[in-house]
Amino acid sequence: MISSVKSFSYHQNIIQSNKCFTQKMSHMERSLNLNDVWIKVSEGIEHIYKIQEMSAAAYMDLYSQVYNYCTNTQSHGYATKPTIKSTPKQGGNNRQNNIHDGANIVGGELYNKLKNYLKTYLEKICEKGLDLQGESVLRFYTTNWEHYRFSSKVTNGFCHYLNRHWVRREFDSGRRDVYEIFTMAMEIWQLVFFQPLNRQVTLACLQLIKSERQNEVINTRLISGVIESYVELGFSENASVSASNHPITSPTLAIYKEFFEMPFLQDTEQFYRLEAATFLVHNSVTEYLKKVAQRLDEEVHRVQSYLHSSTLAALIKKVEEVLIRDQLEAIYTEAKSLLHDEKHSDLALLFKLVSRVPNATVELKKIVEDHIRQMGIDAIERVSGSALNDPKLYVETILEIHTKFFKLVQEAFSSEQGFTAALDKACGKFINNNAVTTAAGNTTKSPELLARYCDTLLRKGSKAVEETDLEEKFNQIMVVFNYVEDKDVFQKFYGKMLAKRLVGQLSASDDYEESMISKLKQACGFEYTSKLQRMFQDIGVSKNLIDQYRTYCEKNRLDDIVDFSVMVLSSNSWPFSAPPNFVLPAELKRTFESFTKFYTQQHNGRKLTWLHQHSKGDIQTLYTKPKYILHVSTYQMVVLLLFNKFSRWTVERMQDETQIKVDLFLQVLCGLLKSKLITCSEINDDELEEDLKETDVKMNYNIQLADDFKSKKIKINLNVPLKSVEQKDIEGLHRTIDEDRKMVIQAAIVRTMKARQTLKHALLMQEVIQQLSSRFKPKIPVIKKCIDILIEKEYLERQSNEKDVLRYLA
Amino acid sequence: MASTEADSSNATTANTENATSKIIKIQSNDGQIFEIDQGVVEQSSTIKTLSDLMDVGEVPIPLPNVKASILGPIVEFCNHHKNDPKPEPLDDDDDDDPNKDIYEPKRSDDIIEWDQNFIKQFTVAEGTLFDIIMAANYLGIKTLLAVGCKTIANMVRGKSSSEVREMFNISYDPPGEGLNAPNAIEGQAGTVPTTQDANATGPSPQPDPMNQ
Repeated sequence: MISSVKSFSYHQNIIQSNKCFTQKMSHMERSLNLNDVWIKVSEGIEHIYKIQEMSAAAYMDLYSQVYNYCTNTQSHGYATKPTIKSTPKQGGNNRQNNIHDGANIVGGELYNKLKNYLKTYLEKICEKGLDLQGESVLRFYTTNWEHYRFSSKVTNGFCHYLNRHWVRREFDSGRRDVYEIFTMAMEIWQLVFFQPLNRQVTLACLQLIKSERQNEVINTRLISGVIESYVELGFSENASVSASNHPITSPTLAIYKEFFEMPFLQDTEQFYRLEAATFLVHNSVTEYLKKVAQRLDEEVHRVQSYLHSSTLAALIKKVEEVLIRDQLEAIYTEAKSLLHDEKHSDLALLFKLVSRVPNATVELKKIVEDHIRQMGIDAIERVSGSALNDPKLYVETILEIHTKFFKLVQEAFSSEQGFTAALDKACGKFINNNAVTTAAGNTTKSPELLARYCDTLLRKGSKAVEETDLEEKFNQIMVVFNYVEDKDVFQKFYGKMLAKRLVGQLSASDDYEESMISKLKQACGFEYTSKLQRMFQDIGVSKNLIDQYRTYCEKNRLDDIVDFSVMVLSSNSWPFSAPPNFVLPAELKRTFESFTKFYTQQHNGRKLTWLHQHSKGDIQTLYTKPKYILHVSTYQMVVLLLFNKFSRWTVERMQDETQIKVDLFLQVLCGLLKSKLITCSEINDDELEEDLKETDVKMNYNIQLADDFKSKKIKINLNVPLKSVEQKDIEGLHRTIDEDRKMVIQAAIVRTMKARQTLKHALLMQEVIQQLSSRFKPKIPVIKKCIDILIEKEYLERQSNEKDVLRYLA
Repeated sequence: MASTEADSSNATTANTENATSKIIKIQSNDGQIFEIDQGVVEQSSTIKTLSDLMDVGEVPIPLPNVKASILGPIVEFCNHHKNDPKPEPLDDDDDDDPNKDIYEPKRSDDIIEWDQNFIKQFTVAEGTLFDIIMAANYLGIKTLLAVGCKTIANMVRGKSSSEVREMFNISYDPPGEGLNAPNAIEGQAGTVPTTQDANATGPSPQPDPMNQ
């Protein structure tokens, strides 16, 4: 019982074995004899290949010829036996052999005749062209190619049946030298026409391309015809095909690549190598780069117009290599001079081209960084004389450089990340290490000057307040701040100046103060600004305190209290330290004691320390007409109040009475002498005009009030800060900074060691430096010293066997 | 008339652009002209190849192997199937797939109703059934060819070999004579399949289960 039938071969059988219905078909005129069929077919082919014309009727006639021939069973032994290769296929498919035992596929003879015809036909034509060169060989090749291709397509069409059945069967049975007609035609062309001619043809193409590169006009159609031909000639056999829908062969670019693309790329390389060398001899690098950009566009256009698109990537890469990569040295030199001359648009072009070459921009970034750094250092060097003490000049010079080069990175380098990083690195370098810091002897000069600059902006009466938008200035300050390495130094100076402003009520605007602090908080975190915030709070609290005290005074009817206000500062937030004590005059004593009592009642357990060096007050001169109001510091007040007791004093006695330290006392005295409020009989006016020093005033000099004191203003401010105090302050500050740093370093070391338990010396250094990088840059010897301190304090110990390793001691 | 153009593929694209509503004329071998549109042309690989290669214009394409009484119904069939969704590339030929069970039969029971009714108008006795199958093969119309062959398969299924012979009017050749002679059919020389039933005519592609 036949349970299943394979459709196609079954129907073949039906067709073949039924004599009846073949008789039915006999009304059609068919010569099934190969020779007869071949005569008809070859006539048709000749017609199409030579005359390039075919009518639909002729086509169908040929198709029918081929069809009938292939489906015929009765041909008398002219059909070839399908050869069966005994190559075992995967899976051991026995059905192959069975098919060929059964199905009777005709076509081999016809196929071979076709093949030979085409071969002979092409050979004859090819002979005529063997001696041609240049454009004529191109014309010869492309014209013949186009005709041949068209004719082969038509032939392929009417041999469709042959393709579908005989060729496929041969392929399925393992034969690999049999193709569909069109592909076979391509194979013949390759063998007969292409092989002998391709060298001349390719050469001619390359010559044309060379001419075009030299600005001559060429007939690009000739080249594109050749390219199409090479592309179409490439095919490879597919390894295994399961369905008859799948093609036997697939197109490849192998021919194109080997016989055109490779020589083309070589040619291109030579051409551009030569061009680069000659061009650079007579022209500037910038002009050269313009030409390079132009050439690159040209090549892209060339591929799009008449080459195969697969060549684009390789071509561009090659051009970039020859024109850019191989000339990088010259280009880098040019970049340096363009930077100097600030030619941004030329730089932009240079950058664009250099970025095409992988890794080439690394060097460029380095060049930019070095340039910016050098410019920064030079700029500061120029102003270093005056900038050392002029914060505004210093900061503005820095900002000028930064803005200029920020613009450069924007315009020339499209703000690319690597170049922005180069700018940052350069700024970091020149801001922290320049002529000014060298002159000052340490790197902390930068943050100090920056803090001073802030102070000038935030202080009352500074001209800058009215001029420009302060917010903008603050933002600029933050820009510089971010580059400063020793941020803790800035914090200390800023804090100190803030304290002075707050205590002296010298702030221009509370809003601005707040704004600046919040910006710092954003940059460095809460802890950094916590002290600053607390300073503010204290001032606010103090205001309340004053009101409370006033109420207290009224309540308790304390009438002999001098009108005063006080600021109570929490000692660990404020950078002040207690001054040496002295004797309070009677006029002031009661007030201070009263307040102290009041405060300690309110806040049990707190200790008040008076900071006389920052206090000030007003005294009225009752002995003059008009009565002047003098604005003086506490010390000055104390000295002047002495004259309420006696009108003449010796220096020695004054100092003894007030118990103010000698050097301080003498300074105060000098200041008062200069103001002409008091006089000294031993010092004449001339000496007074010149710079009076403390050493000039002897202990036995006599001091008295000047009766004839005159001044234009009623209110006079004598409260000038004392230089020595200033000086000591700064020195003190630096010491504080160093001490604090040591503490911070030690804390970092302990933190690290606690986490790691044991760690190599070098690694510990690295860790510590990294941890502290946001605050300051610790110096290696200092870290080493801290480690030693900790070992002494028995937080760490050196590993006995390995000197290098430290261990944490719990 | 076809002629070389600068790029013969241009001819093809020009054709397909115009051909969406283009009518092509075909002519049976006994002179009758039929008009078909692109949807029908697509179904016949033979006509499609021709129309892709050249602009046929108004001249009817002659089909030497097909007569009008068959061509007419074929056009009707194609018109009906014009809008069928394109099938997935069917594995027409599963022979080479090593994983497929070589004895798994192809389906023949999935002929749609319209097609069944259509094919009924062609019979074996008048020979029209084979005519239509031959024409479908000639014109490269896969769908119609499949319908025809499945129909025949269904007719043959379950029949004995003598019944089949009678149904299709196949003459009897004893083994070694006529069509069973060694040289009668190409490719058969020296390869007499051993599984042949004495009564079977012609080689069959598979071992004949009837004889197992």
